[in-house]
Amino acid sequence: MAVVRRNILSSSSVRDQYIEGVKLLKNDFLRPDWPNTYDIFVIWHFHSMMTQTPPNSGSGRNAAHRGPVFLPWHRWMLILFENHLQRVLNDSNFGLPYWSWAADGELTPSQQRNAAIWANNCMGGSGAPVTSGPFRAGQWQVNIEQGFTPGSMDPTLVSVRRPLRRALGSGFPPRLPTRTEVRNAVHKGAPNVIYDSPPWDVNSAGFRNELEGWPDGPRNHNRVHVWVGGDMGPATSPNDPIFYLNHCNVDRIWSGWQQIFHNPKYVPNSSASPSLRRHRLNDLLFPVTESAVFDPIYQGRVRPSNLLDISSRYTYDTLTDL
Amino acid sequence: MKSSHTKAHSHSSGHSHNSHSHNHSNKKDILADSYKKLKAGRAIVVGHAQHDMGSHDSIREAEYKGHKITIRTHYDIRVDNRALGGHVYVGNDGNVSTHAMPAYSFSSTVELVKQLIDSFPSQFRKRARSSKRK
Repeated sequence: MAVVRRNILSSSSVRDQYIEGVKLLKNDFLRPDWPNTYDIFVIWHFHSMMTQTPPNSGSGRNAAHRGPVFLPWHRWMLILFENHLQRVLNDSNFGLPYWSWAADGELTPSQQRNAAIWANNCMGGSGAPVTSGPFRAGQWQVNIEQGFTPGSMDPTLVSVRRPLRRALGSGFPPRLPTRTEVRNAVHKGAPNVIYDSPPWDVNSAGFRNELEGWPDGPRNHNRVHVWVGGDMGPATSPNDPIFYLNHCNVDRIWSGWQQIFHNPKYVPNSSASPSLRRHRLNDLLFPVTESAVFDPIYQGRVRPSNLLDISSRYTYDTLTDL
Repeated sequence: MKSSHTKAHSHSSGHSHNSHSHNHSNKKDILADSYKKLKAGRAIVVGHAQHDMGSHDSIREAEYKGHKITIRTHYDIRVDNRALGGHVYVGNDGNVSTHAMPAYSFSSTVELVKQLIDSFPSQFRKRARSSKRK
């Protein structure tokens, strides 16, 4: 039966379950030679982001970002994250909540930094380290962070033990995306909307790039990462549990776009250039493992075509704001 | 307005991309391998960071009214007189981005480097100290 994904501010029980669940995942070990389950997702995200597609891509298109696969890859990630939360919470009806950041985008910059999502009983506040809420220092530990090869700005992954960092209100202008900006992304080109287009990267016309937030960016998804700042900035951004609430909202917006425009086709299709491997309709997405212990649903073998209709897995409580 | 079909990419200078050895097969256990390295206090180096030292050219290509436009940009970035290599991607809107801050884009490469210094101060503190020793 499909679970319902809700606005985290609309249900205190879902909010509390989410907080409890991510903390349980930090202490959950699926195999002795693997890190805790929460940190597996951090490692997966980093590897996918550092895997250029194709390998000599100069556009920065990688196995999960800056190209068509951005939305399906993260949909897969969220499905697995939700699945593991259901397991540790022992609640198969648990639906991953989302943060409707565009609602906060209607507030003043000061109000945005003090919005309900950042309350002590929700995601907690800002700072380096974060000192309030359930993920404050002593209650949440970052185990993996982005490092660097000496003399290079290209990142590596290193082990660390430190608290979470945030810098709410970062970026310029220091504000979250608005509802108007989201609606503009959803309805751009209507009724002849397109999912993506050549050159299939940050220069592309289409819904994916608008929602990812590259044109005149950072906007939409990208702006949320920048605005939260701190650990939401680097390729290890899943270190902050707000990552999933952001991406669940991104997925909700994609679901809304699919519904409003009656499932526009995903492109590029299977006959597109091999240089678009990992992004085409029937390409295997980038896994971190093919073990069913981590991925009991797809065993690490899933394609965008498997992720376009998710109605049997989950629905969203509302799409009316789109 | 005429539409233009465009693409943009950059290549590292002085490196043959034919020799890149990124693991795309995923046949090895990335997860176990990563965890083993992290537990041993070693860095996980993947993708461009495996081989990238020095600066890189950005090449933007666009087609417009039957003409092919190619723009090559070479970056020689230094912080505290020390070279800072790595990829800077230039979009066709002129904005620049880099792997280390994957959601950011900047209208100026100076702003990009400033943000790197703000976001990763320890990286640059170490560099400043070692410069002084020399």
